[in-house]
Amino acid sequence: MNSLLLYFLLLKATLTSFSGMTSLPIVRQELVVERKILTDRQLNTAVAAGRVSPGPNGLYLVSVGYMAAGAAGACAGWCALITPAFLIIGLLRMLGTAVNHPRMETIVRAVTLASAGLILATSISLARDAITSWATALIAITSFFLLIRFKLDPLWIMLGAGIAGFGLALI
Amino acid sequence: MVPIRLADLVMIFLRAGNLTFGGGDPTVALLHHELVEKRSAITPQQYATCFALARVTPGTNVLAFSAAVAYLMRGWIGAILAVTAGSIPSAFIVLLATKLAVSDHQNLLMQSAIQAIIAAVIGLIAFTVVQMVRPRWNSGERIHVVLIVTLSLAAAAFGLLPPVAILGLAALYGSVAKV
Repeated sequence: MNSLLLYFLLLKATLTSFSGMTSLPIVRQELVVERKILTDRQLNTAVAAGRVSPGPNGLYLVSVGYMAAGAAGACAGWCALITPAFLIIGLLRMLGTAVNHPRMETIVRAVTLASAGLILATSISLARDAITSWATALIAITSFFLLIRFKLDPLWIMLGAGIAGFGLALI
Repeated sequence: MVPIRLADLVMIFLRAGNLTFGGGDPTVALLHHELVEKRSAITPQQYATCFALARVTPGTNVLAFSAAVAYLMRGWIGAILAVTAGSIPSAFIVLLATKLAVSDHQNLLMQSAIQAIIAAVIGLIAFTVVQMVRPRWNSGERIHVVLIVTLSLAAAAFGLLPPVAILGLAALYGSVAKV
């Protein structure tokens, strides 16, 4: 895939999201549903690769870019991730403290809630690929429970799941 | 405000951006310690303004926050260096993890581990949704929460509207309703 086109597609996703993972529905819509460049399996793998690394959320875009267009695609993914960050400098000069205006707050809240609905819809499709047996269903439910109940770092969840996967293969 | 050297700025963002797990909060806390408490490179008010602005800037909040804080200290070059230093090393780790994940599909043990990690990702995504919804739910705005989340979910799941249109409608709703 053309890396420049990939950059603009991923940029569309990052420009319409307000945190790392909320770009996921648009990435899936563009690359899995419409263009069929990636599969749900690849997108799931990209999200997993993004979460076993330190650093900002949203780095899964580097993995998405790599799977879509190799090393140049990974660069496109990284560029799409960092580009929106520089918009804040314009906002800083224009708005300053006016950012605390109640209307601005309610707009961001509404978009965040809509993003939650979109992520839920995306997760249904991704779950069809990810949950293929009772064991994987148990891992998904246990991960959710551990995150909610004990607020464990996702890194430990991923590592624990990987070890469980090794164990299951050995049984 | 005490001026900061570019080399020090790069080292601070390299450390804060790439040695922390769990998203932006640990990074923001570490930067506060380094830049406000230890070096007085920016004021607490400037720090708070950057934090508020980062929440309404599209994309990854912590990168926008890093750009704003570094811009106040050293202008455009500072912002570019901070965002680059705060994300490039981690991006290489993600790339390595991806290569490992896609190259070992022949190995049964590795395949099983990757399948298990991918299953855990579904739990993580569900947790992300809870985290996004919980503050509004706890604040008592439950009608808005149910309305927006349900309609967005339905519109996306049944393919009624593209995601960008759904987000646009939500922004419109947020501009007129007290969400």
